[in-house]
Amino acid sequence: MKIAATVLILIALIIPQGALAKDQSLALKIELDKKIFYTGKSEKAVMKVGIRSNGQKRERVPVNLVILIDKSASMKGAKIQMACRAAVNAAKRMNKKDIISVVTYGNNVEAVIPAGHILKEDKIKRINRIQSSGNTALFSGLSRAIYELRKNLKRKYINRIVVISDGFANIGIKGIEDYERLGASLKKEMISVSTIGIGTEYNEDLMVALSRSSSGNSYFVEKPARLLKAFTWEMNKLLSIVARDISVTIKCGKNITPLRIVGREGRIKKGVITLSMNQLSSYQRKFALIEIMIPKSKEHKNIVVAKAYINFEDPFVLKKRSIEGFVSASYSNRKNIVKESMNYDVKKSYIKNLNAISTEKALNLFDQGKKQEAVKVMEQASEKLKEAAEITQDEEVQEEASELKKDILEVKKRGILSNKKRKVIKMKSYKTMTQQAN
Amino acid sequence: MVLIKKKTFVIYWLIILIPTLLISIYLFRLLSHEKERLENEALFTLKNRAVQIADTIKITMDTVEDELGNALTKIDEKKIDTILKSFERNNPLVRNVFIYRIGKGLQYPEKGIASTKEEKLFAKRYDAFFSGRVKFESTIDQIVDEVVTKETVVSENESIGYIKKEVLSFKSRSKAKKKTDTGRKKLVSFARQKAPAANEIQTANKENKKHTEWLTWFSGNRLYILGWVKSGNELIYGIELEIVTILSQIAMEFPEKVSEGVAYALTDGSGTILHKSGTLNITKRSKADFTVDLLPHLPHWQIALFMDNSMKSKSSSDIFIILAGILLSIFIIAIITGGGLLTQLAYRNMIDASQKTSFVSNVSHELKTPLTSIRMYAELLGENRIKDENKKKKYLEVIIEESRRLTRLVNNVLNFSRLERGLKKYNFTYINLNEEIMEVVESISFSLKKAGMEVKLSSQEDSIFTFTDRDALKQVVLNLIDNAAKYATDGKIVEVKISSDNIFCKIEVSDEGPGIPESHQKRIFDKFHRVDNSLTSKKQGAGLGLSIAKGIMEDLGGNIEYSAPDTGGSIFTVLLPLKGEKDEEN
Repeated sequence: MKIAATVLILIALIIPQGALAKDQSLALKIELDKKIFYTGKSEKAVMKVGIRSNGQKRERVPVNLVILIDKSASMKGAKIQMACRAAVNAAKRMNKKDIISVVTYGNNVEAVIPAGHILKEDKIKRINRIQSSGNTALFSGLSRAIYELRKNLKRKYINRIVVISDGFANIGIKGIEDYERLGASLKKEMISVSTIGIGTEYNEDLMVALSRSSSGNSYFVEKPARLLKAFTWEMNKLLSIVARDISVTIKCGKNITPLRIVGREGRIKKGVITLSMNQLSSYQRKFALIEIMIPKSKEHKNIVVAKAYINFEDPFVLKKRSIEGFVSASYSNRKNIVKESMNYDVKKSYIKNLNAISTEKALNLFDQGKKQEAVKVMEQASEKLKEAAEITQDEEVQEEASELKKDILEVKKRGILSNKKRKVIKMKSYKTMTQQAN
Repeated sequence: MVLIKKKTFVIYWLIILIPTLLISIYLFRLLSHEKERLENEALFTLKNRAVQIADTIKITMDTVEDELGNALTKIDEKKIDTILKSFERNNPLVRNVFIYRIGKGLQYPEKGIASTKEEKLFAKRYDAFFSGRVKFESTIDQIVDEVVTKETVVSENESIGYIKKEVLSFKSRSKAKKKTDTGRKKLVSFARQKAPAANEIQTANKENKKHTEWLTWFSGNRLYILGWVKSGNELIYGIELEIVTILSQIAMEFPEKVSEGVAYALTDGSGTILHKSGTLNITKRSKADFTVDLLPHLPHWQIALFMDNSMKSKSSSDIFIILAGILLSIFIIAIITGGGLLTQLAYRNMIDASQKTSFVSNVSHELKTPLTSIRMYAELLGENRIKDENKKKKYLEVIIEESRRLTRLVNNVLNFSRLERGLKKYNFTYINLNEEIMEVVESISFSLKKAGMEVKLSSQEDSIFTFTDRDALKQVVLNLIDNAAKYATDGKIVEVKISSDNIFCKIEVSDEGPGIPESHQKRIFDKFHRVDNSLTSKKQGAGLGLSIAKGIMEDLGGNIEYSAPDTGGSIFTVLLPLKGEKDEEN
């Protein structure tokens, strides 16, 4: 019996945990934070379902891009100049199949370049003539950008709006919930909105909400000079989309109880987890983290923990594809074996996401004026990070732990979070939870 | 005659002025009315635009609700779960979907971890319905009573009347089933898209008596729209509209370019601006100049028109009054000036005509008098009846003198004519004034002596030189001395003084006669003017001498002035530019 158990354990350790299923465009990987669990007690585990491009080289998918530039008075000088340069650079990367539009908003909204194919020199000059003035009518600007985008809203394009702003929406709709809903509605049309905030005065909560709900990217650039770099990153991602309209369905095995989805919106019903991701570029690896409860077992046995089904659209051929995989685990009553089976990569992703959730919670508490509670949340997160850093011996986790510690000290000393620090934290949390590379 | 003329002029002026003023007043009133009309028209246009925007939004909402409602009624209930979820997943106009069974409660969204955060909020929002406290088929009053009593969806700022009004909007809308061909294409296309496929539509459509009810709901001071279908006795299912999608499309209905000083805004119940078009800055304190409700679909929402002071205030009226006043003043001044100029022209023509008539009469008389004398004496001499040699000599002298006088008169007339036409030619040379004036005095002293008068000549210096026309100057001085002899015989002495200063040479011809009356002093150099212009005047003349003298002096670069000394008499001063000592070689 013991021999059989040992063999099973060895097999479990040697054999890859779950399937690395491959499609011609995507690869799916399902992992647990541990391969082997203790017999005799039920245990919480973390499942990581990740997808990435399989690196296949293909001609890129044409894009339908609207660049929405805030030209309010506060954008005067280097900010508007850099924004225009970024737009021009983006335009120069377009080919004949792409569609591009440039819309500005201040007091009024203007389609400086209505949606169309490659920009000729005279149109590029129009971009360089954009002058800053007026207030920030963000919603009007977005409405016009959406209108331009919808002129060519076809499945053959990757549809994206990139917003560049340095301020608050002070004309028209201002509520974060409204922008969140707008993003969610746009996602249904496979339109994503990426946001680039310049300086320390813009509303990062609003910009992130808009990006998050539409599955776009979000960037914070403190100085205008860095805007070009951020825009380049965005363009790189946009011009390398390999999958979209991604839905993830995870069916848990018998007696496996899903507890919660970490860092993403989704649904858990009768042992089935469903969530979605909008787009995946070849630069990205996206994953979902799910806390599950592994049931106790008296026996040393293998169990199928979960099966994952990824349905997505291949934008190159406009066909629906699917890929599936599973993850299994086994039991042991030996501590060292259980310990050795730990997957630090999953652990790291999990702890980083937990930290991101905690810091977002802390920011909300700060906004509500509950400073002490916010600091307490941060301290708890810091403790967890510290523990994880000790366990994983991972440098990234250690660095994150020390950064969080510094933030806590700063908050205790000054009593507030600076605008810049708030943005840095917000962006970091967002990038962690959405796996936005940079 | 003068009195009659003055009356004529007054009447003439009244005839011009009164109608001019009346026309001006009438024009001003016309302009005012026109301005008012244009302002009203501009305002009407702006208001009309706001009404158009509102109408378009209402029609669009009607169409969206019709299309979505229609789609809902066609859903096959056996696949209700799948279809509704697909509707929510794919249609940007659908925010949430629900399935409710009477007696069993809310089936979808499910409770607990099976629902997302958004679905949880949705369920909470309509808890009054989903908990069964308020029936979907309740009357309006029942809904209002329940809502107000339980305050589940009423925020602190909302009042009973507020809720009642928007719930009433639900009632009116469920009755209004307007069909329309218009509507914003995109929203309508959203409403139509992802409709149930053919195989999902209930087969018994003819028997299908389902219809969609719509309800506008306020929660947390925000507007939501819920639509549902009741199927049978138990099943109620429906959707919640995505307001923000509707808003982003409605924003496109606003005009892109708006006049300066004007703005259109979409406002919600709390006055918050949801969207604005136009550069006019609107603050919380700004009051809309015109509003249009968006009932029944979007209660408390309005299309508001804002205008700044330049569009509506009296300042533009003031500017108009000033401009109109200036225009009309120019009109009146032009009429009056024109009339005045015409009057002056007519008057001058009249005077000229009168003067010419008088001149012709005087010249004729002046010519006739010496001619008569010449003829008389010539006839006497011709008849050879005069034997006395002294008498013969005397008659010949008279003939010669009268001929000379006649010659002078004719020369004067000729000079006058040349001066008037600008044809008089001058021969400028350097002359010694003393010498030339001496010659003139000598030539006339004999005739003056005969008249009992004496000419006294004096000079400040031995020689005073000037650059001028000798003959013209002599003629001027001769005319002056001749005038003195003619009109100042009582004075006996005519003095001629020659002097100079740094600028001018002066020749003063003065007499001790009666002088010139003050009323005539300014006009003595006018052509044809004589102090006593009667044909029976004791002094013969055509009134040209001084006028000719003045004209000649001005042509020579000098002038002639009159002054009346306190002791009486007259002084005529001829002024010539001083040219310095004569250079004999020049």
